Amino acid sequence: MAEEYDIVIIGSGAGGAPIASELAGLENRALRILVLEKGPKLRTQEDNPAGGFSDFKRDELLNAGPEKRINWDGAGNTNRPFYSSHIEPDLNDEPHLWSGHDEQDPRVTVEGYTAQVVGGGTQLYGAVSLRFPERDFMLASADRPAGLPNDPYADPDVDIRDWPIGYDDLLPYYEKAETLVGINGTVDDVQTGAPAQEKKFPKNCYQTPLSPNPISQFALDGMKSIGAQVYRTPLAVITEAHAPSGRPTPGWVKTGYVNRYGDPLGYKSNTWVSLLRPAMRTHPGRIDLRANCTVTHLEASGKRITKVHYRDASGFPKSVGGKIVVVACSAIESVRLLMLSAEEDPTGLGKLLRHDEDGTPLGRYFLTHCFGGAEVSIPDGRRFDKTQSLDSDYATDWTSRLDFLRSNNMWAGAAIYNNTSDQSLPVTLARTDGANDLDTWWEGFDNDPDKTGEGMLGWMDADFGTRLSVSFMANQVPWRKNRIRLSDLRDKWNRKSAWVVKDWHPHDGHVMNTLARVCEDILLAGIPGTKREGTGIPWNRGVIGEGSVYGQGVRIANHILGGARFGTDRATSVLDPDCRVWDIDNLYVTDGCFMPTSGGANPTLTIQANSFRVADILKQAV
Amino acid sequence: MTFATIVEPTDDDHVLDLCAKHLARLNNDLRHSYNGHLAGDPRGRFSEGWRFPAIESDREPGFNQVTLVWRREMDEARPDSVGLIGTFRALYDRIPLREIPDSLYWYVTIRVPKRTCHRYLFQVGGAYHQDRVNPQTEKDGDGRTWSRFFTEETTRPIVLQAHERRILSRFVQHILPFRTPAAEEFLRSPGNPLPRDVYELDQAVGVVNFIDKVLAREERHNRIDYAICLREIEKILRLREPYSEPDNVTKEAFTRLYGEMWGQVPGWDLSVYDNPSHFLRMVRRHTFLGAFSHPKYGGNAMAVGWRFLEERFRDPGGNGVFDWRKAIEKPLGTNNEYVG
Repeated sequence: MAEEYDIVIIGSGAGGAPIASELAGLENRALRILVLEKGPKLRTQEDNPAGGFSDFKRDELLNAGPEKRINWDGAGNTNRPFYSSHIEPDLNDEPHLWSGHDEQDPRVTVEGYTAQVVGGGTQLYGAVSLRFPERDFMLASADRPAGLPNDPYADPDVDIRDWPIGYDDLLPYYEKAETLVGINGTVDDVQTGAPAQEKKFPKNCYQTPLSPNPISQFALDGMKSIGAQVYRTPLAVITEAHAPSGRPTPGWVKTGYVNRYGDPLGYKSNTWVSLLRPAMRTHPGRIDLRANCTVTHLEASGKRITKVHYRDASGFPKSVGGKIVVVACSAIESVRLLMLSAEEDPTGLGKLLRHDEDGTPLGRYFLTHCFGGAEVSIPDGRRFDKTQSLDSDYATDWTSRLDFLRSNNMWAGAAIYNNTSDQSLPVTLARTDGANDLDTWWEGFDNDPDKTGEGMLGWMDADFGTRLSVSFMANQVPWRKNRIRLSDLRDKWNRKSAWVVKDWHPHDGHVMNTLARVCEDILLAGIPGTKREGTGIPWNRGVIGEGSVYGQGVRIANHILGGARFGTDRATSVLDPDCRVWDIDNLYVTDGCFMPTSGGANPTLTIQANSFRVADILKQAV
Repeated sequence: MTFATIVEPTDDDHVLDLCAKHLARLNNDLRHSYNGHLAGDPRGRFSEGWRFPAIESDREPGFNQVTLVWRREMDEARPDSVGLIGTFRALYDRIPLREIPDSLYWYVTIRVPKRTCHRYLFQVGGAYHQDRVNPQTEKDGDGRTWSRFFTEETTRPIVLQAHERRILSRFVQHILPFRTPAAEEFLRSPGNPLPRDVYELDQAVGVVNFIDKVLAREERHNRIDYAICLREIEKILRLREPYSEPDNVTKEAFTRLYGEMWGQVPGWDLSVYDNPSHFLRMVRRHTFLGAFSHPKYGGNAMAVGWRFLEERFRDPGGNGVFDWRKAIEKPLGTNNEYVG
């Protein structure tokens, strides 16, 4: 007889932890909640009673990883090096494949892997916690620019859908997420004090941000020069005592060991320290958190999931039952789990999931973000201590306004913000020199013969403490051809691996080129003495470089969305508006795969807000 | 000799956290054989077997906590007991391991001085076994093979031979910026508590030691590249300057060779290693890592690489722009909260 819980939640990150913490706090019922997490529960200093040491370190080698090699015969990049942090999966154990739409020459990839650890991707993320602009919830029906190049609305392979909920529906949950997670930032313009975020913001739930890094002033000046409203970037790092999670007043917060680092002190508001740990302390016995447990498949009877099968820390098979089952193991892995479960029971669960149905939406319309920006070395010997930073100081979503979209022929907008901690530490500087994504680490440094002796000193003279970048995060066109499927490549549990089939829609290229140029304009306007590329002036240090992932054959692996989108039409969506799988009474999916469009901002806060929304729905269901 | 002490076992879950990602599996393919280095060796089944035993921080300065793990196979009978012997204690002193209930794992955590290297064997059912996960081994004087680990900041050479270390030392000098006039001025500055011989800076920085350690553990698969290519380099230098030892040839000879390795190297036997530039790229990456990663990995001794950056890079007002001490644990840094 399997153990029975009221709720079984698969994944402890942004999609799963809000539900666990909310339902643990139900006053009138002591629910039994099980959280299954594939990765370990790594300790903060506070979590370790034995001596105060954390399992996370301020250690560039631990977080950048030594060289490993792809070891899969037949993959397009067999024997190529890869570098991952200590909490990302080993690609030789748990590969993802990636290819273009022709599905030729697939490569083993880091695409879609964030972190496997209690807290999930929120342990490594950069903590940028923006709400989506209101328009991003209704991209199908909102006023749209005419004459779009490679018009995505006219492409039969594109299916742009409104979300079944609007910004107003999510607003109280954004406020709840911002309050409970612990985020610092501003609502208003940093200079005028006028509302600056491109959405209604009736209540300010932010903590006070820290003083900005002085290098960010160039980005602020540039943003203001081109007419943008600018606010302090909401970052999920506490700067003050945080009562909801019981975290005391932080000591020295500013450190470059934030973006892509787990925080040994727990100031970074990952879902462990901000949601799960407080709920487990306040309501002891209600949440059973089992780390190191890999869910292999779900089992159904009739229209209900009756068992969750998993492997424990030794690999022993186990199963549990739950009145409600919530899948939240990040978009690709959640879709994969549904597909694997369907294959286990093709005539039962498989039919319910419409796995083999012609035109099934499961796995389709996979999304990342259109991403890119501009970068420069601040000239004239001006240099800053970028290690004394979090990650991003100033942001604007002025590029989401309809007048901007119309004047630039874009279907949807973006957030733009500057980065400060990038390339702030010596190993990171070399590792990311010239890299386009996580797969190309070290390539720029490795392949530059001049970075030796005096040449190395000259390079560091130019780049150490001087690099400033401005990035955009834009909606990607939901394209049917972009999909997640199963491959024949087996993981360490002999399960089929996920295969990401993805490319950029031609309109994505227009969006990225336009926004990269905006980012370049910001730096041009903000930094005296810089020149635009392509003006006949030879490229050299101190001149801005701009670009995007489009057309470079690289991927951006940090945001994975879509693949099991929610909607009001069961024919074109996998989930109903409550994020419940159509036709299955007790199965919900709450990571980023529910999104029909990817939003013009980093997605984690929206995933958390939606999970709080679903938690309210589940309070009625259990 | 300081004997290791046994740390009271209090946290089975932490040991599972150390183990599950790497050791829990059904598939027994040799996917982690370091490009064939562990072909036929069951240790090639485990992801990042070099993480075992786990070397972690300890409350006692100058010590590490070392957690040694015995994993029985899923279809293997559960042993009555598992023990451990090693050079960290008297060899007759068998240390019992603790079984984690309902698991495949037995473990013990011991407190071992930093900068030490040890051999060990598990005793299971009366027989002695090497570690089934850790690929590091070492032979004793009787030719018996033991498992091996080393703790943080170890300087004892592990895999590189003396002649390899000497050539590599010259090689990394050319890569690093520490032979530049600017660096030498920094090293000679009054009050700079560095080793006396500034011309040994590359050794003081510990890059060769770092590479030795990374080849022993994390990047074992690259050891063969070093063996072959350092041999080729030695051969070529002997041909070019026959009256000097290879590690003592002129700077110009190294400079020339370094430049050639980006393309064609006259005299290089491409039949034994067909891509000298690949090796050059690897050495450059390892050199940079060794000079600027945390000193516990064996390089960046006394944080000299960080201190060089701290001293060199300043804003127009003369203020340092790499205040690494503020974030890093004491006594290396000055942070009062983060303990390392």
